[in-house]
Amino acid sequence: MVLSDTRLGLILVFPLIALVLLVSLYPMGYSLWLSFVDVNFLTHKTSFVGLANYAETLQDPFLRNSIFVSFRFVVETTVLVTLLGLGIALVINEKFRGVSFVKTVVILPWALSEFATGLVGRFILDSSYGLLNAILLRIGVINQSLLFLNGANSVEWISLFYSWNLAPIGVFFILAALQTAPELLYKQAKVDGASIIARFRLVTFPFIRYAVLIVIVLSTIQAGGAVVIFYALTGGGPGTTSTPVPLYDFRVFLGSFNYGYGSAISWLALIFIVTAVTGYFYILTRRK
Amino acid sequence: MAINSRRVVLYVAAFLIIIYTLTPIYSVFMIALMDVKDIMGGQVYPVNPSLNQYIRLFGYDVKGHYGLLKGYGSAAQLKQGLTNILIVSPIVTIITMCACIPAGYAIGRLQIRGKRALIGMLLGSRSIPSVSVLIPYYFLFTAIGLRGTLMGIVIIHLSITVPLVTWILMGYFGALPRTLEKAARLDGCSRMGAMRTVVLPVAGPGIAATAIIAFLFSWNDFIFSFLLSGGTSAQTYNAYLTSFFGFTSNEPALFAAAVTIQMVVALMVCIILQRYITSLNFIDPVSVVL
Repeated sequence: MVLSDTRLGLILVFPLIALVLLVSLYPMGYSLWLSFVDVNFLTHKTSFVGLANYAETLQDPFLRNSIFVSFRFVVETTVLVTLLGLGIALVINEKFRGVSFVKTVVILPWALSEFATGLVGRFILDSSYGLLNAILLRIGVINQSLLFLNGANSVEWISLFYSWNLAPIGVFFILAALQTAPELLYKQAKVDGASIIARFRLVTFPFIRYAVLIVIVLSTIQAGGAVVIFYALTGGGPGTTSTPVPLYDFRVFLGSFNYGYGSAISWLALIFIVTAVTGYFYILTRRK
Repeated sequence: MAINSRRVVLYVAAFLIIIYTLTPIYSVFMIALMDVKDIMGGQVYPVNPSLNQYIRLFGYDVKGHYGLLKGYGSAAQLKQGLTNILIVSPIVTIITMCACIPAGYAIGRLQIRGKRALIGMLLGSRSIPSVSVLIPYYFLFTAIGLRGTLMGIVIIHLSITVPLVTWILMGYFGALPRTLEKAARLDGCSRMGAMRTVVLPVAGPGIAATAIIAFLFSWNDFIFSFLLSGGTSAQTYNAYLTSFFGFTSNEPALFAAAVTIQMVVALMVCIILQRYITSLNFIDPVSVVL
């Protein structure tokens, strides 16, 4: 009774604040410092180099390649997750026999890890034992196994599997929003002679617009930081054709031990993601 | 007629959704149940299905359809990895819940100053790309000797599960009806007493769901455990799976069997979660931010 809400709140929240500060501020601060120094990887001596690491990013052809890969991947994944989420949610929002079974099945990919999803991709796309080749051979579309994970298409395949993994979250958000749309409005719109498309645009969409934007934000964040699925499915290859910025950054750190430069890249990536997310939220709040 | 055509469209759509969702899962299980010879023969359903690969995986020889199959040579490490993650995940789940139930209750339920800042911090820590966080941890853990220990993995998993679960729980607590709690307070319960005797029992399903989410994260994590324990005796099952990358082309079935062990637990946990997931209100916390 003596404690005010704020006091009690602070006591209850304190362990959490301490933990989050410790576990997210420490590495952030450390990598910010690293991004301004050059670490000699033999002696581990550091020397301050100012913005030299950041300047280096402008002249790195591998980084440019991976920015392109990342951009392609994020756009493809965001579009796929949003469309899949919307499509599936609209279907399972209807009432029909067996809909609860469909709901149970639809969420399953969410339970699998990004890592497992990448490995699953191998078992479908592999040129010697993959299921996709086996099916295509069997129905006679092709007469010899194809190499799906080639330089031109591997990013699209990875995006497809990543979206498969991520889509249940989109479905969940959009379905929750769909259920807030009152049925009476639909009936009214139907009576007034609105077509299916008009009903979706004018009645349904205003209720789910917010959820759709959340899904777009989340898939941008997730896809922008994704690295495991690339490692598990193609390892970034062939060559560097499917190496996004985070994977390239790991290579800079753990392959060439260039800690200062690697940290500079990770900070640029972080700034980019935060800017994108802030932008989304700005649009979100302004239009609400 | 109009109703019937709508029905048909719905059923076709539902059928396509199920095929799309299950095919990837099916492909791994199918390969895990077959012999290498049948797989290379391009079968699309398991021919001569057997659990031979699972027996081999744990180090035993087995007589297969085409002759003797040797046990998996590194079965000891594989079992070690499985044991490690079976120790880590429950511990992570328990600590997460102990930290997050009070925090989630406080943020979701009480009027406190600095609420927006807290939520912003939680969301912010969720959107940091893993590479920004991992490398400093890699150095730190190596320097202080936590790399290659189970405790190190537990700590790193908590750094993800705690903000995530708090974020979900605060929305959940915030959405629970307040009348019960008010009645308990009027009857002379203290704030903590009301939380313990009234709010927590009602919040049961939400707490169960978030505990499962914490467990799933820990069970599914690859990148943190791979970097902080890969190649050591503390490596988790997922980190161990990378050692199959080299010889997948000769032993796809053995690899698939190893992968399915990881997947089965996750899928089973997810099916249990189904009962609770509808009780979670994910959208609420974000709307509080705005």
